[in-house]
Amino acid sequence: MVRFKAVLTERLSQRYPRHKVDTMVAMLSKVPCKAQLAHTDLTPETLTNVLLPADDDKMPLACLVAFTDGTVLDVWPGAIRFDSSRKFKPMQVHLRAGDVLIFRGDLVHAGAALLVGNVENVRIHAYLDAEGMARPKHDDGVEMTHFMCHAKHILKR
Amino acid sequence: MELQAETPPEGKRGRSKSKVDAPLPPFFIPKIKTLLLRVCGLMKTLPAATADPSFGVLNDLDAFASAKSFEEVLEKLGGKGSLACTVFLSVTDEEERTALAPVVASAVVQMRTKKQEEEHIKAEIRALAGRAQALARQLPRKKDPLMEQVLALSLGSEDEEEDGAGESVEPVKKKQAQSKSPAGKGKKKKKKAVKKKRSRSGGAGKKSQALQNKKKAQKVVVAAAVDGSKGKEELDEEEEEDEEEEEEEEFALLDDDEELKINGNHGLLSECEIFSAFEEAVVEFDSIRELQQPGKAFENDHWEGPPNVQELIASATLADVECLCASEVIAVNSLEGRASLSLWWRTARRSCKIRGVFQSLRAQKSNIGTMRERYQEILNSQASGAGAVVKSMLSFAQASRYERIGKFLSEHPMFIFQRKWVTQADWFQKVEGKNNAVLVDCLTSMVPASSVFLRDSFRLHEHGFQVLPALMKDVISEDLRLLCARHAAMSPARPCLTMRKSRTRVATTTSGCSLLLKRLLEMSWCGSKLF
Repeated sequence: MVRFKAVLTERLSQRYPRHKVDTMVAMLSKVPCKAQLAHTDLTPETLTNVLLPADDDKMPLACLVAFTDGTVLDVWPGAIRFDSSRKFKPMQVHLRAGDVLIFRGDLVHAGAALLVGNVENVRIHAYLDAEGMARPKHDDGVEMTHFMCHAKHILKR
Repeated sequence: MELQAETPPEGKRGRSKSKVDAPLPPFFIPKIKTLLLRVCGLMKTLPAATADPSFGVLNDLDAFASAKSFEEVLEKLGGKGSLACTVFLSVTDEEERTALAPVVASAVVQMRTKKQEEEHIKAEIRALAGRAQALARQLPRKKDPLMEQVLALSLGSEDEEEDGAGESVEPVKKKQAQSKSPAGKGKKKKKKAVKKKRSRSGGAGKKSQALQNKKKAQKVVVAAAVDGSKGKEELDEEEEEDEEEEEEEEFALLDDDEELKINGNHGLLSECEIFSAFEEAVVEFDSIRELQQPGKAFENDHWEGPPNVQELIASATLADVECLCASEVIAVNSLEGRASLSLWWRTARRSCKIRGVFQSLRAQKSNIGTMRERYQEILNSQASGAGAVVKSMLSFAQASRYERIGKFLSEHPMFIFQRKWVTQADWFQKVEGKNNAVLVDCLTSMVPASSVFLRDSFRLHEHGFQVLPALMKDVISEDLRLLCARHAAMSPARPCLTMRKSRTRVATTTSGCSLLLKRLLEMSWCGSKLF
């Protein structure tokens, strides 16, 4: 496990030198499993200073490493910067074991539902923190998230 | 009648080399020109083919107006050895050839009366309608009203037409001869299979009883129809035929599951079909992409002649059953492979252009009403403009479909390099279990984002995410996967996180919090902090 983190950190730091891998969490989706609610990993308040395209380098990121073929995640492509000027359709990103998905802290996404017949999947979620940007946490150390499921511009799955 | 009696039925199928100076039927030259246009179109899509000297002959189709026979057309194309002639024979199917060939043999000789000429035209129309039906059957979407009309066409066979005038001996003999021919037999079996299928609900016992009764009835009809002098030999032959039919009817009796397997789920594309086609597309991707390189030669640039039906059937053996393979492997760089790519690229070009037109129309938003109205405006201006040529234009709905393909390609341009879905109809097949969604709308949600077709489609600061294909593949092992799964499953951390999420939600808005809480608690998510 330590080696895994070291390799991931090394490979990602080559691509994202301004970001630091942190808070790695193993996640398991059991079958059957309902979809998560659409959300962003960070709140608009936290990201208020990095939402403009000029500040893209400073945007905190997150990554998902799939351990199982057919790992799925619901995303709303283009639904970033808390833009509500247009509507966003959902799509499912299918990952194969070993694939890594990198996404912005303001991307609307959700864990996908798993139906009977799907494969139970395991994945690692990690944050790629930008320099000088702290992730707000609750008192017990759990990160705050921001729900987008009732936003009109985020179309239903 | 006299002439018919003198001409054996087989004569219609044969091809004579005799040339007689007699008036040609009205459809001969137009039909030849249609076929030549087909040849011309096909050769134009293949750069290597246009360099062939025989291609030049196709520039002047009027030169073929003087042709008096099928053979003469072949000669004008440079003889049987030339490429144009080979392509011509390839694009002319069996029905067309049999329709054109007798022009030399019997029709030119016989068509002296107006009635006979009409008969010939009717036969030609029947052949064309049959062809249209055969093509319509190949389409997966049968809900198209035009396709439904085509499929509903009743093609009165010669047998049926002759039934009315079946008092003379000649038509009966002719009918018997046809029933012995493979085509005639096929029709009969088809009808029987349908009847049999209908009677299936009555149970197996009823089924066999019905079959016996039907056979008896058939025998009575045949016995009544044949001349009294008909010998025992002929009756025996019929019995043998009946036995054969009975055997073959067994094959026609497929149960519902088998039919579902063959016909698919009411024309819906299954996930399985999509995955297997996609996997094949991934394998072919590089070789299709290489075709972009100029001067890439054909792997197999010879044209195969038309199939010899009888010879092929006779030469089949149980030792060689390659013909039973579900999919035939057609090399990407073969003429056939390139033809399907050419078809797809033509669809893609058109779709992209229409996408561009629609984008321009959207940009006019403030000027005129709806998109449909703006589109109609363009059509009207096309029709009324100076020197306008009357052309049939795409309706808004049809154009919108192309636009959707264009939009899809603008988002996922690598799909240009595939040949699994090549027509508009292919992209608008409904997908099973996707709430009537069509392939163009849900393909990207079904296939791996790290595949060659999608991996570069998503950009981090434009779409919000990107995929790094197989970045950690070398590090992941089954032991590590099990370790993570165990760690996550045993950890109580996740319920805490989901509750926390619901608390966050409650903090942002007060409405719907109970529903959110319920949804979050229902999820079977587990998570455990590792580092």
